[in-house]
Amino acid sequence: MIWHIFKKDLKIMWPFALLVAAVHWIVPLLATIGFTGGRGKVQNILGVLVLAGPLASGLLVAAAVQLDAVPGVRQDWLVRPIRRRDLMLAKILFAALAVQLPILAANLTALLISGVPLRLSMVSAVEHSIMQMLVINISFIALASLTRNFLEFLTGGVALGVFAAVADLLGRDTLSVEPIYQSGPGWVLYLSAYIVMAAGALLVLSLQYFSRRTVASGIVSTGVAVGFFLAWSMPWNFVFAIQRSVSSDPASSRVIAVNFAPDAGKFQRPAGGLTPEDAVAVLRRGQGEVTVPIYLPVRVSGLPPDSAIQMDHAAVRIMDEGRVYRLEQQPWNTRHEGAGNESNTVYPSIAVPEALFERIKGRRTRVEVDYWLTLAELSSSHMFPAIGGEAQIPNAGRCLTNVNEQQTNVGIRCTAFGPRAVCFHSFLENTATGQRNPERFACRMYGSVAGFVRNPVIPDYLLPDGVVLPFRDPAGLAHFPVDGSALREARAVLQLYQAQDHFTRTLVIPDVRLEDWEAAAPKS
Amino acid sequence: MIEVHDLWKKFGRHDALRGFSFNVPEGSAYALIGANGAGKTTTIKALMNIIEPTRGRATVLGTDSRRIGPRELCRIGYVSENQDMPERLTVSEYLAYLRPFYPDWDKSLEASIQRQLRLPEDRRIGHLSHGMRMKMALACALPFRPKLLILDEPFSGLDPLVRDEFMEQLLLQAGEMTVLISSHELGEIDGVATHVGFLDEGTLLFQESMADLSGRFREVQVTTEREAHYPNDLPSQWLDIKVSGKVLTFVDTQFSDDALRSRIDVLVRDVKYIDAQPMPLRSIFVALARAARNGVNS
Repeated sequence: MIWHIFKKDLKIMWPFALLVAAVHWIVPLLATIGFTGGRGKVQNILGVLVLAGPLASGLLVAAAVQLDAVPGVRQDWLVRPIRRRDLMLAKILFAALAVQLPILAANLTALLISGVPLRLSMVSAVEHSIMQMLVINISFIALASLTRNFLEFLTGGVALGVFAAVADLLGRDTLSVEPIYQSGPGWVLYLSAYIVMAAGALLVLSLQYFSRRTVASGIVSTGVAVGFFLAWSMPWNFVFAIQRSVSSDPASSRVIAVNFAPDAGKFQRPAGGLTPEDAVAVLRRGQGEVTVPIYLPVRVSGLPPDSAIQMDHAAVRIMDEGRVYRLEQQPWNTRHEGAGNESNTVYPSIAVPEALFERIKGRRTRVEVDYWLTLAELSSSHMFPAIGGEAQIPNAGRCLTNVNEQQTNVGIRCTAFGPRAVCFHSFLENTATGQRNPERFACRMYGSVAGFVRNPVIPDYLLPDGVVLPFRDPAGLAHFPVDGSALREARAVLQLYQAQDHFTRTLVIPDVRLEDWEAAAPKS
Repeated sequence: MIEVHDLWKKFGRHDALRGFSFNVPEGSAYALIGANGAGKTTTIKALMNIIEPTRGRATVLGTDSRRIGPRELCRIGYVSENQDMPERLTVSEYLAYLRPFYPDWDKSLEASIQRQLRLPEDRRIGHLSHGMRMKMALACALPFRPKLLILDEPFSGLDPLVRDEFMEQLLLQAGEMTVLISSHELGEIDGVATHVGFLDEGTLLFQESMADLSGRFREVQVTTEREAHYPNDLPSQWLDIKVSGKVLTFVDTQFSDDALRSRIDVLVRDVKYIDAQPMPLRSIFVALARAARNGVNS
């Protein structure tokens, strides 16, 4: 009778279903003709539609579920010989066929039009739809099964939204350090939150359809919201332990050491402009928090050939006269190009509150830093013209280069589908001399779970704003080997890295004076 | 067919049902009567497994009411004034939807009922009047020839013409089915019900067959030679006692001709004439309701 009930629901809901399908078709079609890369009104409209899609889906699912509402005592289905299991499965079938199938078809069509190979398009669209069914649609059905009408559904949705926003706000880390959900291992949070949502939704559905226990289901829903919050607030150690357990080459980081390198000397402040740490200090000052950046030289040794280290997280402890001050460190990374093992020195910055700095700067203190690190290895290297370059790159997608309106930098923008690289290294290179402009290295989330629930046709860029490679300083202070005049002969290089291992190291400096490690003035 | 034992239902602190018991014999037409809020609808919803009783037990068609499922519901017809049917489906679409759920659905009987009730098959349920909806509910409850038909306030808000059509169809199809009907529209039940149970504030004050009930209730009028007075020692079976000039009236709840006469001879002086008339169900209900409100047992 599942199909029979589904047909009844569709007979009633088809105009609404058609409207919702139309909303879902507009987004990929606009994306296909290239509006996603633009700015301005069209981008805004697209943004609204991207948000409207899930909302419309939610309302459609709720409307279908509420045709045979579970709470209440007046519904006709309660006195009919309708199996509750059939009723529940019919609603799930409705969500799959009337809501998700048009989305899958739209995404698949758009992917194929975009030139993504058939198999990759199928895999991308299907895996997105399965995840969306398991996480989003099932949750919508569960929420709808607790309610009798749109108003109740929207009220419940708004309540959960407010809870999520508050949880997000409480769970956010401070300004200077990336929150876990934006970091490499952030996918663990997404996956955990999805599992909590899906399991909670299935529990609520069972309680509602098999026992009609709305009060108990409400309590479970509250528990799910709390579980979601807890999943979203998992501590670094736990998140990283999970990340570590899925390392593709767990032994590869064994030779890597992290040590204090006082012989490397002080950090040299670059001439002109602010360092990223200065910018953070300015922002903190705006919030009433005055900090002093300290740059302790750190030597990373044992780097394998063509590899990179990305710092995912760091916890700094400064110990002075029996007291422990817990501080943060800015993310850093380092690379080694070529054969053999190598040592690199980096100057990660620690933002020390000014009052604390003034109190302890001249004293001998102990500093300990716990590092959560990722070792990535070069997987492929690609070159294309700096102007108007275009290439289809495995694990990066379709990449384009263009010069910005101000003629100050080259942007590389890659639209990725399917499996993708987790880190990249990019620069402009003078083909004649081999000289390079300032390089860019960054990593994205190591797992792609978060992307499953996002619309796969809204391209999952290598970086949301693309890679920006400067070639001209409008202030005239900096000069680049590849400048505007050499741009036509220059090439953009994009190197992709895959994560090999995730590991931790602890740096211990038993005796250090912080005032010795402020940045040195720029060399004239 | 239905057995209820010590049924309780609490809503928060309010006891909607206060532990009553009754039986609906097979083949009977059992009328559950009572004022609004007496607990009739709550009882029926507990019997249909729409709500769960707080305490006590009910069996319907031999099955515990808490376990009533599709197998039992195939044999139970249900009509209620509080029944939400899919408003956006037409009459014929909804009947077509229900058909496959009932193995014994008789399509020709469905067509016949639909015709006799004059239901507009292409009209959406949401566009039907209240009367039409009740007829629609009946049309959905009869084509599978249920063993048990449960009607919850079926006449509420119906105009006389629709009531007649409804009753006509009900009586036509009743056959051997057992009917449980809740109502405060007693005029409609009179002549249909074979048994009656009287609910008041969640308590069943009595239940018996209509024949017994009609036999033991009489509206008595005693005319005296002189001005009538309230008797000094009122028998408990007399309800609703009134005096007006030379006339004393009351309701005798345990009527027998000889006992009445001998009791009147003892309690009332100068009796000139005694008239004891059978009472319609409505009058019995009113007398009992008043007595219950005043705390008198019948």
